Amino acid sequence: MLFTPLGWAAQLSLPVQVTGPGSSLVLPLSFSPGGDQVGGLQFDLQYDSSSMNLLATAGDAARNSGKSVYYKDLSPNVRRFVVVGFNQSPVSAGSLLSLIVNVNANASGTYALAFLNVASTSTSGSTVAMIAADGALIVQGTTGSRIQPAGVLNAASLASGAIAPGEIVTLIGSAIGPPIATQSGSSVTSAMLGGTSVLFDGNPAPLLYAAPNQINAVVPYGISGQNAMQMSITSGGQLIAGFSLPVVASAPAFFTRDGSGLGPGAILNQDSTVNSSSNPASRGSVVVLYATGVGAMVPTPTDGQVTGNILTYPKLPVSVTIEGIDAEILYAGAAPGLVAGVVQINVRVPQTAAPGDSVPVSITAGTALSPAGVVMAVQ
Amino acid sequence: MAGVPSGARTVFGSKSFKEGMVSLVAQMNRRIKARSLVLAGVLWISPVLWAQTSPCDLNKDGVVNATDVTLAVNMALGMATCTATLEGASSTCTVITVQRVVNASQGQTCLTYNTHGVTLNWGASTSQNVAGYNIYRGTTTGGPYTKLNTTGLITVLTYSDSAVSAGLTYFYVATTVDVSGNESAYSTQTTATIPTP
Repeated sequence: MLFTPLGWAAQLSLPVQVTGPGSSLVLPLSFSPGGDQVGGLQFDLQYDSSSMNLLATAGDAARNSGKSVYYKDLSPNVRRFVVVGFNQSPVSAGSLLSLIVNVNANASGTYALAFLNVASTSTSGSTVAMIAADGALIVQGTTGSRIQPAGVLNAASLASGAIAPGEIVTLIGSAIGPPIATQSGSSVTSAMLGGTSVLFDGNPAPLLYAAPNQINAVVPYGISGQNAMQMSITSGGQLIAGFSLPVVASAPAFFTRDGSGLGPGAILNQDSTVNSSSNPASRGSVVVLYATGVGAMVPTPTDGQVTGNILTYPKLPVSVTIEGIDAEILYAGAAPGLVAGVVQINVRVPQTAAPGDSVPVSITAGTALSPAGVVMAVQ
Repeated sequence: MAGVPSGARTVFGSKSFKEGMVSLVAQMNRRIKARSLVLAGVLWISPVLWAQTSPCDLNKDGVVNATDVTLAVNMALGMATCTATLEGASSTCTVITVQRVVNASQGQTCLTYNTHGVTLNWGASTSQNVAGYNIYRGTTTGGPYTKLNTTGLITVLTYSDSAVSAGLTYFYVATTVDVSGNESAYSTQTTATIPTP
């Protein structure tokens, strides 16, 4: 039988999901372009902030089309999202955002996740009609898991996935850290912050920051060579969350200027000034990039040690491309003054790279390529 | 009776200053006689095409780049006051604004209107009791014309018309009005073709 689909318009949607009080869960905010070429979109998400908090990271649909995600709270219960990119690429179908939802321990009932003020644009800048299907959280039953495996993110890209030795990770969950945010000192890291510890196969991870819903930690180098490991979080010596995570040799990603994992990289030009559209790097000059997740180092650093005079180097081959062109690497190794796990890479901007405000950069460690979406300015 | 303003120059046409002015004065005299007005019309009117600063250049630094994109995003989020007028009068910028700024920063056209304009300059009437001037515009040569200054007489010797569309040709004339409300005949028509885009 033949039929014509009605209303084949671009669409945003969130699922309806059942969860327990005090839980953390990851909801995909899905996008379908329908019959349109959507270049950017904007919407407000209305939710009950007294019962949950949200953190959003870019999904594959945004990242692979070179879009950045911006958001701002318009009011306590309404958060505006703008998804745009420095390009005319259409947004592909798939997960536009990952919403990490941390449900309060006293929440109960059905909570709407409603779209408001949905707007989108074509790749040429004209208006595109878009519809939205609201989602909801049904909170019932016993207390749920405080953190999901998808809440373990690469601290540079904020992408979830398998972890690598020495990778700095950001854990997002519900009441996983101390009630008051605590951070380590600049010259020393601790295996416990505010009574909270993170263990990888029983080995304590150096902690950089711990807050009620976020912990930043360094994956111990000792997990190198494993395929999986058990991560657990303790508070006051009591286990509050734990699960198995896959391990890979490397999961590289560049740190970015705004910490979102997308957009301008945290990059220094040859004169040590910050690379930006108003301060681009010249072709042929050397720039400094910072990354994590390149895997094992030689010699193996002491977990949590701040890099001093002894420099370590990635065990896996590392390469960097700028606008898809292999860049000459002058140094790739530990970043002096920063905690082991952060690597510094000095590369020469290829003479053949086309100038631009948003020239894509990528790093490969071993066979693993960094997530798309990091750019730099070249002149 | 009208006289030739000292130092006035015409900027259009290929004739020399002297020939052009004589010709215009002759035309003016003929119109005045025909309409029995004692008031002389404006002696000449000339267009100067201009392009607005791109509306996608939000910080008005002469270039549309990533800084404007960042600003556009902040405007869309309400973190900066929306000064973009790409969607008309609105206090809220949208992703459409942002995308257009992005497109412009990539060398694409900043989709909008009124990116060009025409400034008209004319020589003063030398008649007595001049109250001001009217500027008329038509889209076909010789008229009909529509008065542009709808809120009152123009009392200076310049007028900017920003309500133009790319690719169209406009025909302008001017008149002089005296304190009694008498209006002269149309001046010599002048033409402006708006570039595309």
